[in-house]
Amino acid sequence: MALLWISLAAAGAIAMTALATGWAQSKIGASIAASLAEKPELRTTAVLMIAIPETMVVLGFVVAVLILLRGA
Amino acid sequence: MIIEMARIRVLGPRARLDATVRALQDRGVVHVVDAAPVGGLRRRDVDPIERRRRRNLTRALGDVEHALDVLRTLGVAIEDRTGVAPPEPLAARIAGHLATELDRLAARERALRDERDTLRAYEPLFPALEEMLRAHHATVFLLVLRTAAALDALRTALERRLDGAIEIRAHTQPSGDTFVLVAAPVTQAAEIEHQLVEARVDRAPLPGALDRLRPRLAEVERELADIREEAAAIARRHGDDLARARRMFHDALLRLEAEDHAAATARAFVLEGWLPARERADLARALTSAVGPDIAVEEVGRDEWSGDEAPVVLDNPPLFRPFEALISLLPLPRYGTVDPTPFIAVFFPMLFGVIVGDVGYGVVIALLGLLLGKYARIAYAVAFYTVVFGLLYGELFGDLGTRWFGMRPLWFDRQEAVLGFLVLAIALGLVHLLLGLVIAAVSRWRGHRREAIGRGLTAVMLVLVAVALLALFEQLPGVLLTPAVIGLLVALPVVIVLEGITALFDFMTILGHVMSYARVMALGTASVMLAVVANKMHGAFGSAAIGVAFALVFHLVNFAITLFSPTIHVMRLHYVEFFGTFFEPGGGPYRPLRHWSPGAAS
Repeated sequence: MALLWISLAAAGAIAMTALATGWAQSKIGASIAASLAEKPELRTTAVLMIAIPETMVVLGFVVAVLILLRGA
Repeated sequence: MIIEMARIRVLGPRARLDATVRALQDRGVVHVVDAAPVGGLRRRDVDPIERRRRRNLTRALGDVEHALDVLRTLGVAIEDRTGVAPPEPLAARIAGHLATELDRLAARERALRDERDTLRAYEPLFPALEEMLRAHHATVFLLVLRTAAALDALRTALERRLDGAIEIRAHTQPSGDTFVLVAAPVTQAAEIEHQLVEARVDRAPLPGALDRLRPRLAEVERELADIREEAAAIARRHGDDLARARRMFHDALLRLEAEDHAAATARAFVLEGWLPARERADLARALTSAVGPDIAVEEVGRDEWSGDEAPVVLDNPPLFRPFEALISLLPLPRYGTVDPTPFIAVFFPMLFGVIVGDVGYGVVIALLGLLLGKYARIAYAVAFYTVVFGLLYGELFGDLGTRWFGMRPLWFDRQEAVLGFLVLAIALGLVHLLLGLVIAAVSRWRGHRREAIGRGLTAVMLVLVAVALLALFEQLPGVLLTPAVIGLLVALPVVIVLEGITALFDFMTILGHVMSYARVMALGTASVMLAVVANKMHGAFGSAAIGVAFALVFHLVNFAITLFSPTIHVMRLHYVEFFGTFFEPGGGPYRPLRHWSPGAAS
């Protein structure tokens, strides 16, 4: 039973942060695409803006790994 | 590094302004800027003669560019030429005459091409059309259908309504358009006309003089060849002159633009500009020799200008130079600050290697580097670190090295020591950001001592946090915990006094940035796991061949992800986290007055 909860907790950690990252990137991506159409020189900013929310899923992944390791 | 610049002032008799600017253009090292209108100097007035000359030059250059463009559309490309161009008025006359002449040729060529395309489109229907038109009792329609399906619908509709008394021939073009000939009894013509209008089918005019269609096609081809020959003859006669005139007119306009920056009195002029400090003495000698001894070059004192005004030139050793491409994605660093190229040249490939860490992938990246031309060195550096960390992790295309060759990790196995890999990633982040803070402290020591001390203390606080955490988790002697915490409590208020209350938030941000390096472990673990899954494909299918094929495809996908994702994330770690500690953007580009060349910004 404990293993189930540990697995669910790890899955929740990665799933929620992945959804949050996806939602943030969808908003940023749409706005940046519109900006790039008018100002192509913003491409570096675009890459950075898209990459910034990925911190959430990265940390979610780390937390998930820690949950699994502690559980094991 | 950012090379040292000097601001210079060139003074001379007003009559020698043109010769001076010409000499500066020949030298090609001075970035001309507005001369300060001080001490009786004022902005130089542009007289009507000069305005007219500028208009004439602009028009002549337009004619030259237009003539060259038209020649290119007619299939004759003119190479760039250096050398002596005809005198300006003659070159302008030639350019104007050629622009008109070539416009006429291009218009004729366009019309002939349209006619040829139309004739070619009808060509497959010529026999059917001849046959239909010979039947005097029939009316012939030529239709254009956009889809093949429309032809079936048309055939069905017409045959049903006219009871089969029609004849239909069709030919589909490579473009997808279908030309359809419909021959129907004269009595039914009005009915068909009505049907076609209702169905909104495009009608094409029937080509006249049918007996001349075929000969005309050959004639058009001949005329087109004549036009191309005429264009080639023009290019042979005047191509070199046009190419040289283009350079001459561009250069003249660039000189006039530079002269606009000059300040002057009734008898003298002053030009100001920037150049690399090492070029200053040579420039003075070159001006004296080209213009005469009455030209003076003086250096503007360092106290008269600020770093915000100076253009920035990056000059790095050949080993680091390709990495300037990664810096060029950001605004230039401000003059007097630190060029981050050497740091990105070391840490970009290293962090990439830590993430990918696979001997096989490293070798493939090195092979891809052979195709990358001037960016090959980036690929080789990345490949080197990827191979080195691949050996440390004991990975060759995932766990294939272990399975086939009994390869063992020299340091640790990433599949097993996930926590250890996380600690390595965070430790790398800590070292990277500490380096950034130290760079900031050193570079600001001369001009902004208070800020420099603040950055230095922030670095110390970061070390103290690391020591406290390691002591807390018993990786360092527990006795270090209390001094580390006391040190933090003392340093924090000092930093706040030095840099303001925002220093506290800044410090929290830096701590967050250290944690951000956890992505190195996340991406690395994902990369190795995908490679291991790819290897397991081999045994997962009944057929070994299918398994190997799937494994190869999976490795290819993983390799593509490996090239893209770590690149983006390592760039982000540099641009956001590392550069955030010391990088100061705001430098202007260095655009010296030099001779125009194709591809160079004018």
